[in-house]
Amino acid sequence: MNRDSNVIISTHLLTKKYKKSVALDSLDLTINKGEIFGFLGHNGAGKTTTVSMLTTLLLPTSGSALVCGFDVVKDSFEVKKRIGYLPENVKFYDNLTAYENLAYLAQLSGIHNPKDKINETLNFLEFAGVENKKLGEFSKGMRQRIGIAQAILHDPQVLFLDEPTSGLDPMGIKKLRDIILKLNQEKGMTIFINTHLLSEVAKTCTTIGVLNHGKLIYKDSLKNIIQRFHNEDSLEDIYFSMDSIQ
Amino acid sequence: MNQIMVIAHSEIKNLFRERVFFLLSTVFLLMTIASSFIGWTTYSTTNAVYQASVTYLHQQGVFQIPTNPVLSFPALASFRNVIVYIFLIGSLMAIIIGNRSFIRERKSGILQLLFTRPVSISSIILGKIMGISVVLLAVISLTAIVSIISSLLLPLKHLGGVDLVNLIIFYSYSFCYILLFAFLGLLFAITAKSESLALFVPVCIWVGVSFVMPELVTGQTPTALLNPVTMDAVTSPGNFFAFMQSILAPVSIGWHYTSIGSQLLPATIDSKSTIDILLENKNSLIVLIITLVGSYLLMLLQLQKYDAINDTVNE
Repeated sequence: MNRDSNVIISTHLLTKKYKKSVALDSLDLTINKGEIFGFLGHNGAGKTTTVSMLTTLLLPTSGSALVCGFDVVKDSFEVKKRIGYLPENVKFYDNLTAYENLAYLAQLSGIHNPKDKINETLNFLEFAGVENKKLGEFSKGMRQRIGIAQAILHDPQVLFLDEPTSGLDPMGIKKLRDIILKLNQEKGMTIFINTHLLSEVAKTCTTIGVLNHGKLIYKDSLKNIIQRFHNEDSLEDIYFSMDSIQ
Repeated sequence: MNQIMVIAHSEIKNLFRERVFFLLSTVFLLMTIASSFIGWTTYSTTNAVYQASVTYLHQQGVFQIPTNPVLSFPALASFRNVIVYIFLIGSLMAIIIGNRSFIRERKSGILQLLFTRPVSISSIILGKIMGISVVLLAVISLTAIVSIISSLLLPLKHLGGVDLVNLIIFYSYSFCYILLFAFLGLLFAITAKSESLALFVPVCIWVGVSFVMPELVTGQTPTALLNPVTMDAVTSPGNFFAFMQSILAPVSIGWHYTSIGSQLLPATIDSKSTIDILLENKNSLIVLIITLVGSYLLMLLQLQKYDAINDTVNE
């Protein structure tokens, strides 16, 4: 396993099997600090399973994974201190206000003065003024931004986003893209994005991994990928070329 | 604020916003108030009739008058209905509180966020138990206050020091008893595959503990078991019930509750001392504590295996 100080996520033969299927098959992956990593793959490819194991929500069947130098199984507590996570359909207590939801999660992340931190985070996300509204009244886009707020309240080193643009309108997608870039540039956060939207990957990610039926079929920087597949017209064509590589 | 307190605080806030909880606790309190009122009117009427009879007999020149029947009942006898209310509605309310506590999290989907926080499983369970305990204590305390106030209004009846000790022990025991049902509600809310099953299983256990087991142990009908007057009546069971009693009596927590409750709140003046009651029933109290600890450990074990992604407990 790679323990290089520049490496923030590394997996070795990471596998997740269910009774009748293999969701993830021997994944070897390395992600460096400061990268925006786009994990591409069709529905059911194993992207969410990978993120679930890296965020300690699921136990691997075999193999190992280190996040911020800590094993996701043996040192899950240490991993949890250093990560932020936005699930695909982020959910909160709808009968509580945005502030109450965020304060609850902030305190569980060890933030002793949640009020200041919540204000600072919402200002950073340009989303101040919604604190006292109940989450049940929020649109999908607003909910997603509160979802990002809860994920970055404790200044994590790595932020995991699972299909973050799912269900968002074009304006919401653009705002989310700006937030991702801002988090990476201003806070130096490493960001791991699960997505099947190639256009988003092209606009935000520095590195790309392609997962197909639980197997990593390709991984490289966006720059190298475009150079290698320079004959293809679009990223979509590249994706299908990669699919045929295996 | 440490993490257990944060979870407990959130639990209390969420519970007080639950309609079901409000409805059940209101019914519970209203029944206590109604029971206190009925007790008060019974005593007052008996005393008023007695006083009117004494005046009439004096006018007729009769001075050998029997004692006031009100004096033949201890002050605590007026609390005996509460045993039945806690036994039935209190425990059912606790199941629902425990059930809602985790079903709410499962339905909201917030568990994925909670499980990616540096919070231990034991902190989550302890926080929830603490929140549930505060809410149950609040309900039990309100019941106690209503009963004590109503007893202060009773004619010729005043609670003494021993009565207060018995009351404190009775309400503490009642709290532990209903807490066990809250644990059951919570445990099955973690393990059950569906929301309806999560409520159905503990309710079945509640029926077993409250009706089936006491019936098999005592040979009494459910009506007799729930009657505060005949609650501590001694029956002479046949062979079948004697056999069932030998097996089930040590673990029949519901029967222990009504039995100890009726001893702590006696119907007659010549009752046992508090120490004697506690010593005689020490095994029942130990069984309750063991069941509480066992349920807590089971919850820990099950939540450890809970898969927040697939909303299921891994085998």
